[in-house]
Amino acid sequence: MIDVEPLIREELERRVPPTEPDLADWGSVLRRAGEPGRRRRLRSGAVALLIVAALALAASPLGGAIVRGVGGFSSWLVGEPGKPAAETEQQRFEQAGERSWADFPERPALRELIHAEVGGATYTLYGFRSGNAFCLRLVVLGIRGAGPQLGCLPRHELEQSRDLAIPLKANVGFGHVGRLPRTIADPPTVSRALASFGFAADSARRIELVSDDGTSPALLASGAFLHVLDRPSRGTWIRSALARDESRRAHVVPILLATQEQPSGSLPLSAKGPARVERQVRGGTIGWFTQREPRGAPLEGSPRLPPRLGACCLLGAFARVIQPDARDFLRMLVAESDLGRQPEGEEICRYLITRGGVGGGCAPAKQLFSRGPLALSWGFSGVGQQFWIVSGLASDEVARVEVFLGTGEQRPAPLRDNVVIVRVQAAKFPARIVAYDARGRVIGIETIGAQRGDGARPVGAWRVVLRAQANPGPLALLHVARSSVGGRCLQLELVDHSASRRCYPASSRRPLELSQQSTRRAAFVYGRAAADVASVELRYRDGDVETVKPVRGLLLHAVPSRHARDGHRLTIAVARDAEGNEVTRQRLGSQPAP
Amino acid sequence: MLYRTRFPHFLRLATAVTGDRDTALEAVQDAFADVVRGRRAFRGEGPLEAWVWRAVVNAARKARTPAFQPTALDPATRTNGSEPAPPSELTPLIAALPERQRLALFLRYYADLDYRSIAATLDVELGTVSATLSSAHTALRRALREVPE
Repeated sequence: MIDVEPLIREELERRVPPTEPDLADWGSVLRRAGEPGRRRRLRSGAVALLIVAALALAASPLGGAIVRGVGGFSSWLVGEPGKPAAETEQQRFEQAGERSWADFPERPALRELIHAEVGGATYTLYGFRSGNAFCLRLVVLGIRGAGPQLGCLPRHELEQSRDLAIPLKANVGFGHVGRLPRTIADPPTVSRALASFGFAADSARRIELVSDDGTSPALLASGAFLHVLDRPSRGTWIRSALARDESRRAHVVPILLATQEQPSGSLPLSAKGPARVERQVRGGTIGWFTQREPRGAPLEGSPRLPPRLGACCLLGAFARVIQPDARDFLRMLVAESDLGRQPEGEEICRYLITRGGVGGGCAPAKQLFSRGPLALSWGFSGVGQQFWIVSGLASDEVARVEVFLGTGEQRPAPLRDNVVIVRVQAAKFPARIVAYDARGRVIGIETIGAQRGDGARPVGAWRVVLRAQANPGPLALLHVARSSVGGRCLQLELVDHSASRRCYPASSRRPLELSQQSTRRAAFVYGRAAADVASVELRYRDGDVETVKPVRGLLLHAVPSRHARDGHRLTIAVARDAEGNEVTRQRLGSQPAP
Repeated sequence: MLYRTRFPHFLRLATAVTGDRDTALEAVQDAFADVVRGRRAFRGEGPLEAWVWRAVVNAARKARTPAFQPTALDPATRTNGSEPAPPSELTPLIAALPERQRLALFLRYYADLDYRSIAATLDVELGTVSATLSSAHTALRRALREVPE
């Protein structure tokens, strides 16, 4: 048989060779379109000079933003806010980056934006851009254990946002006052300081943060803002922000309070965007995965990833790393599970790779798209994150994915090789993630963070019920609160690291529901167990077994550091009753089918 | 942005359709003018890029002269002073393909579009693109087999 494809390619290449881009003439297009009026209006004085500068810049990736419109954050999109950071800080940052799991697409050059001394500590806010990621880094000196805080948002957010300020992190606690809670009766930790920071629009003249103790101004400079609440009283949090432009009119800037499910003190929002699926798509597949096509990059040799990552994550031989936005650092590992191809089907594993670590699990391929063409997860990494990462898989029918925020704003979601990863401003939840087919029909809708109707949320106060100290690693606190739909919600707080949350309905009949939360140095298992579960065996890949007893139906356990290595990690939890009979078992690392 | 980054691809495809680079350049410019004029009509029912590609394909088809034969490319197709390439055995075979097959081939190879984008551009189902390209390959393969040594 003749392999005709190379012949076609060769023929087409030969007949119409690549052309040069210098024939492009946008001005000619505008004239043909009858749009000269716009140019005439702008052709005056300083504005005309700006246009010339913008056209010159447009040839560069940076200047490309101008062609699309830079919105209110031009100091970031086309400028260099602040001043270059000290070389020592740049080096510190790069050394820290070497330990991360993901490379920035371009070498970030730190810019010093704001420096402040508050309550005997110094706070320096740095910023940088790298590819499509725009990030702020807060460095605190003078408070023990206060590590740098990094937050990033995507370029399109700065291009499309019409807000006067975009918070990146809020209510980030540094240090603590008094002793850490040790028993259920102890009150939660009180931070020595709470910091909040974010990007500020060019026209922002004043930004005030509203806390339970009142309103106080943030430092505003170099396209960013920084607010420090020193020694807050117990229960005091930043609830929202007010930003003012030249007209001094106040605009509400919503802030997500990390200790609650919903944004507080901000906007009463409802889900926007398409609400009806125009074409039902169920039981979809991922063709390239089924055919084992080598999409993306191989796991072995992928930058920053440990070569034997597969051993930790229940992976089989076929594993590919997909990067939906080549100019961002977020990636997803898509792989077959170590179960291989079973008679009843196979599992697809997906692990989101951020700079801080890897998280995800496996699910039966048959069930992945049983409800629709999107199989998404969402969450955040790091304290006080205002941008949550929505990630997952889309079936072959999905041509594009859009995010509709509760404010009515719309954002694109990068999609490549069936992988979707997008950062979404959580304070603007609920958000609808909408999948379209090639003909533009809505074929899938996932709503995140809805106020009512779809999903439980915590209500009332959180109580610390269990604590566990990793060695080495952070202290973990398990909080519990009532669930809005009955049952209870758990929140695992890794002090100064991150938090994750799950709600369990009262009607849940599963005898054991455990989750894992990992940092670079430590891993924790937490969750709930039914009343008849007296003990839980944690089985490790190397054959080791630990037995943990639930406390009031709850479980929190720091995985020993010897099991934080490939080949030694946790694989299965077995629940036993008081007589030692097996009640159920849960494969850890696998997530429940949707 | 799309205009700047993808201009060479637009021009290349239009040249393949019209057979003449000057005509193709006019077609691309006209297509973008149409896009600018009609931008408010874009309702987001499909990818923006596919909408633009459709405009370019339509403009190129409209600009193609009735006498155009893809087998006889105009000397204007030369680039950077090089001589136009002589026709190969595939040239007439590609020209003889049904138009949809030919367009699908051009969009695949010149525009480097994936199947989804080709489907959106040609306003056909995703499966149709696959079938169309497969048919084109089969037809060319069969024709090549029939070419005497």
